[in-house]
Amino acid sequence: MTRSVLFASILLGTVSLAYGYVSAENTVLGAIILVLGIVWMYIQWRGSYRFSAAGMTLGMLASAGGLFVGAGAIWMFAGVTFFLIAWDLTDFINRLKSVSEISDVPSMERRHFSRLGILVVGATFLYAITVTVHMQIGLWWLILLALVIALGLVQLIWRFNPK
Amino acid sequence: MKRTTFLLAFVFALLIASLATASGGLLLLAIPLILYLVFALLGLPDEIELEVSRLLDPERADPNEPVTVRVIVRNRGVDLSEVLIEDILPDGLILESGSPRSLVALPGGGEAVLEYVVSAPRGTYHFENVRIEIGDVLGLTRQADFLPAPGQLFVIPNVLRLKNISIRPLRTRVYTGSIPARVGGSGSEFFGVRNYQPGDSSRIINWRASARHEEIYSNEYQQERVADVGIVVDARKHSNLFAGDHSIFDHSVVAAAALADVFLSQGNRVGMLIQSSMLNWTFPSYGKIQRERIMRDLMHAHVGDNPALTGLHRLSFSMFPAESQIVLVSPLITDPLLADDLDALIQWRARGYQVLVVIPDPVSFELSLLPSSSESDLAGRVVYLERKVALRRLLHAGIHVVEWDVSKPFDQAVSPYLSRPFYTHPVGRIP
Repeated sequence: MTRSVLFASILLGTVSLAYGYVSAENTVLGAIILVLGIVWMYIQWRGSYRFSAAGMTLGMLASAGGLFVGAGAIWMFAGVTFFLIAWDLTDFINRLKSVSEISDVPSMERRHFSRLGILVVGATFLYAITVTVHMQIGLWWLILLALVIALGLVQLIWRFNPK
Repeated sequence: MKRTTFLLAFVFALLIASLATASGGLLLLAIPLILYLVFALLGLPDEIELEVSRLLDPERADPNEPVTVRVIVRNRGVDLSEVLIEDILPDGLILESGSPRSLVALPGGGEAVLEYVVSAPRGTYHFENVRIEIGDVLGLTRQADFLPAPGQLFVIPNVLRLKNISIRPLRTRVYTGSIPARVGGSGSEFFGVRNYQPGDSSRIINWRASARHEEIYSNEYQQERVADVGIVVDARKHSNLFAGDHSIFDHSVVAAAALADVFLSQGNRVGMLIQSSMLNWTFPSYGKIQRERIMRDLMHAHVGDNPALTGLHRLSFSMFPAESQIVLVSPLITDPLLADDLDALIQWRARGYQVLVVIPDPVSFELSLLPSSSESDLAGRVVYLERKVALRRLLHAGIHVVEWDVSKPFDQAVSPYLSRPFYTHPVGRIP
């Protein structure tokens, strides 16, 4: 089940990015992204789970780059979200594989999927608000916002610093 | 790289790129990542209240007997989505089935049971901690801790039941037992004839002797008492390791356990000395508690070397009561370097001890480990004959020698030889 969702995420992320590039008339880059997505899926299918970090990095770079070549932000956002899910599921599969005895795998999978579902819904909701509500903010406000986000994250991680 | 750091790197890169290019789109891409981080980190429990307990079934086992280990983890706190329970096995345990690692979801108030089966060679095994690893709801960060779950597994030597061992030490103790005491009195074995004394039962009157003489004679029987028995177990490295690192010592332990068991069950006072890298002395005593002490000492016994304790002649005679029974369990290598051992045994005998030597046969043991060939067979026969000649010295000194082919069970192999009394001629005593 998890593997199927993992492949679906890679596929959807790749297609989203490739479509964004193609719609911005960058067919070559779109084709390269498709090939890379297929390579990622092939590597996953062979049972190697080390490519997910590289796949995620390439996906992020492709998404950020897409914004500069005029690709639709919605497709880039979808690409990042699906690659994030693929990266998360790869690690989840690894955790399950590292332990020979797991109590009730299906319910553990169900709970994980439901959390990812909430995450996707939340991210989409925030994205929708961001693209709907237009506010003109100055550079200093933007810097302040970025600093608040960065400090908030650092504070959060410091608080829950694993022993 | 940690997953949290990996994600944070992306978030910060996007934030900086967004600021540098004044592009809101890049900030948009960071939304799922930020949400993922926040969601995962907020899902990490503040306080973890776990209780761990351990059950071993059985806690005392025979060597290589399956032992079920159950680790019970109870969650007294909040729901935990992913808990990795990993029991740390003491060295030497062999995992038979199941796994000492398990991934579970633990709701508040719930419990998880980790169950697996192990077996072990002779020894004591201390379980100490259980490693618990708790992840957040998305498994992004993990907290690991060791929770105490003590437990002890005792793998005691196999005790094979021997029916009876006939020993005849010169001196016995005052309590009634099963060893003929060379003193007339009530018993079952005929000892002699004496004049009738008032009060003697008519059943013990020797009518034949009385008819020949004009007096009445009564039969006298030999008193049966308990005795002091000292068991010496040879755990020296050079006399126990053969064909590389194969040890015959476990067979010596089996023999010593069976002998101690039968001597104690006959009511004797038994002490034990293990000669290894140091001398391990179990002070002589009676009964079941002493049996337990001896089994525990045998359980911990292992081969070792100490240059100060190379030969049996290093053992002090004061450890064993005078004229008591000494039982040596040793492969008794007849190497010229160890010829002193034979002299030491003869010296024990000369000092008035009754000596019984039980020898787990090292020749057949080593031959069973070597590839079968005409050369090894011939070598085995030569060594066998050399040993026969060397051990004959012991027989001539009045020492009871029993050789045990370790491929057969100890009780079956030696019972016929140990249940018969071994009468020896007294030898001269060292002044």
